[in-house]
Amino acid sequence: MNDLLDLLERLIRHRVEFVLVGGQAAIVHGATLVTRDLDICMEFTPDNLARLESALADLHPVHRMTPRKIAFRLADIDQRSIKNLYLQTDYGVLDCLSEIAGVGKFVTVAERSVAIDLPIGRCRVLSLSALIDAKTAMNRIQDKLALIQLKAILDKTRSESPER
Amino acid sequence: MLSALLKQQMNSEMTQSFQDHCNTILENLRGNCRLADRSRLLGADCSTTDSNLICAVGDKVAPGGAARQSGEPAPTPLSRRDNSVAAASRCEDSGIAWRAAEEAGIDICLLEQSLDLTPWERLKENQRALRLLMTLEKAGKQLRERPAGPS
Repeated sequence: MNDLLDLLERLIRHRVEFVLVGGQAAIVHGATLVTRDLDICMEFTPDNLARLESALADLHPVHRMTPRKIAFRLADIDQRSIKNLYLQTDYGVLDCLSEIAGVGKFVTVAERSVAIDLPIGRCRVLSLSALIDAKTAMNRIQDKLALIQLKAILDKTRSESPER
Repeated sequence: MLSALLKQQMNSEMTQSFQDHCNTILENLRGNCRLADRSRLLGADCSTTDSNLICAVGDKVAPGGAARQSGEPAPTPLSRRDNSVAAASRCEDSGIAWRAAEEAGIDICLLEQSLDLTPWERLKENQRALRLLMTLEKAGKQLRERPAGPS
């Protein structure tokens, strides 16, 4: 089972404060990529983490980077030191990041995001220009491909608001 | 007399402009091998005014997009674009990055189609493509795990 939109809907419904970043954000802006995971930038406050845990409760979330796929339980985590969460759920992969390279921490990421209304609720997405900054900073092969598309899309929209 | 001369002059300019236009299109059609090279079909909403055919060689045609002349707003990726003007507007915004994408092998027609969708439709397209990908992966795995034998 892999339904990233259901996963996204869960996050929105449980009022997790996040900004959609990564491949899904690129898709929202029009890039023609296929991406397998959901990347979000979120503030790692106790309240927000509790909402995340609640949203994923029945989706059997596990820390996907751990060899034994340890279950995701807030009680087992030192919430003060945690910076990223790489999770596998029944609905697919969810990567939660506290900071985006090339953009900054959550507050800056939120400032450089745009709100979009989806049938599943309102969601904030990293702006096109910020996404280009992030992909430029990452500089991986997959990011370079996305970057070419994102810059082309920006070309189409440069007469619009610069922060899109 | 003056009127006749003006009319003649206008006709001459129009004819010259029209000829220039046709020559540019023909030059682009002759010079641009993209369709043949890639052996791909254009999407249903792609016409012969697609930037693939017109914009690759010269800039003469590009600035004259019908959308610009009609005062249509520039395309907005975060919302659905008006399909009726999408094809007409293809050439007008071909900036450096857009051309770089085309030269890098990005399927511009697919990108255009994506820009014609709403964000939700784009996310659903990804979901649909992902499901297909996973189905194919599953089939491939079954194929690899099948005991070797006569095909």
